[in-house]
Amino acid sequence: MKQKVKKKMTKAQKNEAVWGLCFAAPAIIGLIVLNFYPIINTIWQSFHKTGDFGKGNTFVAFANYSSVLTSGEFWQSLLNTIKYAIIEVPFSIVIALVLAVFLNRKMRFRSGYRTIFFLPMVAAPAAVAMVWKWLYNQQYGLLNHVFNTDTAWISDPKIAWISVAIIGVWSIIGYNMVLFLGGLQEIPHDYYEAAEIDGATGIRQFFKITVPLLSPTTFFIVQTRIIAALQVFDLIYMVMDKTNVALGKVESIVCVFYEYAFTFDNKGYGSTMVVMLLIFIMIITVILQKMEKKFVFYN
Amino acid sequence: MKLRRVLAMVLAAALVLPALAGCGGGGGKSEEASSDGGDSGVLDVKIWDSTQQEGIQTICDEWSETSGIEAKVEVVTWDDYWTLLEAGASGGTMPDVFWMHSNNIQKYMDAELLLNLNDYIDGDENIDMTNYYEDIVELYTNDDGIHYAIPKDYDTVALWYNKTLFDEANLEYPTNDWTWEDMYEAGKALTKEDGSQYGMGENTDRNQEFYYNVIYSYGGYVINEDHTESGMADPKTIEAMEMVGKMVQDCMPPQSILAENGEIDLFTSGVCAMRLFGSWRVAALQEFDNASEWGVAQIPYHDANGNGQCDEGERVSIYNGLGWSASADCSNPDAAYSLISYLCSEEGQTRQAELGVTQSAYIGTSDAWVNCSDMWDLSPYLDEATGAAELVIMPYSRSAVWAENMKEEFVPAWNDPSTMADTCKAVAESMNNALAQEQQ
Repeated sequence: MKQKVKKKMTKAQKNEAVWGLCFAAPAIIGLIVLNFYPIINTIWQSFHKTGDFGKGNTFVAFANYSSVLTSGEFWQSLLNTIKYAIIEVPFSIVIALVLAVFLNRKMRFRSGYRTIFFLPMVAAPAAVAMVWKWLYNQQYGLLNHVFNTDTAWISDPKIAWISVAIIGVWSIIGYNMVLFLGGLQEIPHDYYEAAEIDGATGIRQFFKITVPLLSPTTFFIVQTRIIAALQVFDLIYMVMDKTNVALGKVESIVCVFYEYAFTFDNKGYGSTMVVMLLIFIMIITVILQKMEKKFVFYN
Repeated sequence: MKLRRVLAMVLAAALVLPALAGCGGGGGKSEEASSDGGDSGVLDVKIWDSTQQEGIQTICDEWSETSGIEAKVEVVTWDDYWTLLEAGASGGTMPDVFWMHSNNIQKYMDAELLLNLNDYIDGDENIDMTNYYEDIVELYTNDDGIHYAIPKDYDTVALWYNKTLFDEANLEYPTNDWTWEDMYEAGKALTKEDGSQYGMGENTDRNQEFYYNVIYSYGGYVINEDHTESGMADPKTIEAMEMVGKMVQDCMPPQSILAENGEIDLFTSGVCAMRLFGSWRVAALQEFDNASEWGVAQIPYHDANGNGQCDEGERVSIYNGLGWSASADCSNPDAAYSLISYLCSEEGQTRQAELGVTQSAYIGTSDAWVNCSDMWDLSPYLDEATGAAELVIMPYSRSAVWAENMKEEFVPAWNDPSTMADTCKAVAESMNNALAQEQQ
C-alpha cells in the first residue's frame, strides 16, 4: 500500500485534522501516560539493577534476563499460568456458548437467568475469591461437607491448580455469555427456518449454523480470554496463602512478579519477568491472528 | 461564527482537562488527595494495625485539642502499607506521620526520605532518647547518629492457653516454669487422634512469635551481629528447630490446615489449645466472646544446663518495637514533630498503655497496660521485659528478602518434620545468598 502522492491539505482539511486530534487527545494522552510510558519504563528497568525508590539504577544489560531464564521458578510459574489458561479458556467458552444458546430462546424468566449468570462479573474479584476459599476449606468448607469428602481442594498440589481455575471459569462465564448473546442475535433467523424445513435437528443446526456463524465472536473471546488468563493474579493471590504447600504449583507469573517487584523490592528482576510474559503473549497473539484466516468465517 | 469557535474551544477544554487530571491521579499518585489534606491543616497519619486505630486516634485527638491541628489516622494492611509508602516515597507524596518497622527502616534512612529528628529532639524537653529501650532506639538511628524515628512501643511474646481444653484433658495449666519440653508433652496430650483438637498451632510465617524464640533460647541465632551471615545452620539452631519439628509432628494440625484456616483462628475457636502471642495482638484478642477461657504464662525456656530451673539466657523473648516517623518533605514538619513528640512523650505513652493499645516504648509506662483487661493477667509480658527473660531484638538486616523467603522455605519441613535439619541448611544457604546480594 504505497501512497506516494503528497497532496497539500486544504485549509478546511487542516482544520478538521486539528479538531480531530483535539477530540482524540484525551484518549491519546491517556494511553501514553497510562500505557505506553509504563511499558517503556518497565522495559528500561528490566535492563537495570534497580535502586531503592527509583534512584541509583545501574545498567546491567542482560543480567536480569539470564537470571530469570535460568531460574526454575520462572519456568514453573509460566507452566502454572499455561495450565490455568488451558482450563479457564476452553471451559468458560464452551459453557458460556451453551448457556447463551439456551438463553437466546423465548422462555420464562429469561432476563432473570441472564442476570444470574452475569452476576459473578459484577462481584469484586477479591470477594469472589474469599467466598470460594471458604467453600474449598478442607475442614469447614461447604464442598467437603456436602460431598462428605476430605479433599484438600486448594492445598493438594495435584488438584489445587484445577480448583483455582474453576473459580476463574465460574467468574467469567457470564461475561462470555453476554458476548455470545450479542453474536447470536446477529445470525438471521431465516437460516434456522430453512434448516428446520429441511428436517435438521436442533443439535445439527447448532453445529452447522450457530457455530460457524458465531466464529468471529468466538475468535474475539478466545483471543481476549487467553490474554487475560495469562495475566491472572488477583484470584491466586487471594486464594493461596503464602504458606500454602501447593503455592509453587499454582502461582502464576504475575504473582511471582508481584512478589519480586513489591515484596522483595527488586523492580529490575520483576520487570524482566513481565517483559518475558509480554513477549510470550505477543507470540501467542501472532499465532492466533494467523489462525484467524483459517477458522473464522465472515459473512 | 466567532462565538461558535469560542464555544467549541471551551467544550474541548472541558473534555480534555478532567481527562488530564484523571491521568495524573492514575499515575501512581492516588494519595495526592490525602496529602493535599496536609496543606489544609490535616495531618495524614498512617498505621497498619486496625486494632490500634481507635486508641491512636484518641491520643491524636487529645493532641489536636492543644495544637488546634487535626490528625486523621488511617489503616492500611501490612502488605499494602509498604507498597503505598514506597509509591509515595518515589512520587514525593508520603503520609505526614507514620509507623516505621525494623524490616524497612534502613532503606528509608539511606534514601533520606524521613525527617531528621535530631534538632527537634534537642529542643524538646519531653523527649529524651535514654527513656526508651536502647535496641529499639538504635534500630531507627543511622551510623551518623541521626534519629529518624522515636520508639512507639515494644512487644514481647507469651504463651496463651485455653483453660477449658486443659480442664477437659485434666492437665495442669502452663506455668512460668515451663520448658519447651513441658509444652511439647502437654501439646501431645491435648492432641486428639480424630483431628478435632490439637495441642498447638504455629505456621511457618510465625517467626517472631514462635521459632525465633526457640532458636535463641537454645543458644542458636538467626543472623550474626554484623547482619552479614545466617545462623540457621548453626548446630544449636538446628537443635532448636528439631524441637520445633517435634512439636509440628505431634502437637499441631497438618500444615495445610494451618495455612487454610490461620493459626490465630484455630486458637480462638478452641481447635488448638496453646499458642504464643505477641503482645501487639492482645487488643484484638479482647474482642472474642470466649476470651475469658484463656490464660497467659511466660514464654517457655530451654533448660540448657539441665539443673531444673531457668537460668540467665535460657528464657528468651524476641522483641521489636515500632517507631513514629515523619516524611522529610512533609508540608508542616513542625506540626508533624509536635504530634510525634506527644505520642512518644511520657504522657502519650502512658495513655497508649492505659487505652490498652499496646505496651509502650517509654520505659516504665507500660504498667497500666497490664490492667487494660480484667479477663487476663498480662503480667508475664511485662515480667519478661523486666528481667524474667532475656530480650533479643528481632533479627533483621538491610532488606527483608530472606525473612520472607524463610516463611516459604520452611513449608516442606512443616509437612515432613524429618527433613528439618536439611531444610535449615538449605535456608541458611539461601539466606547467605540474599545477604551477600544485599551487601553489593
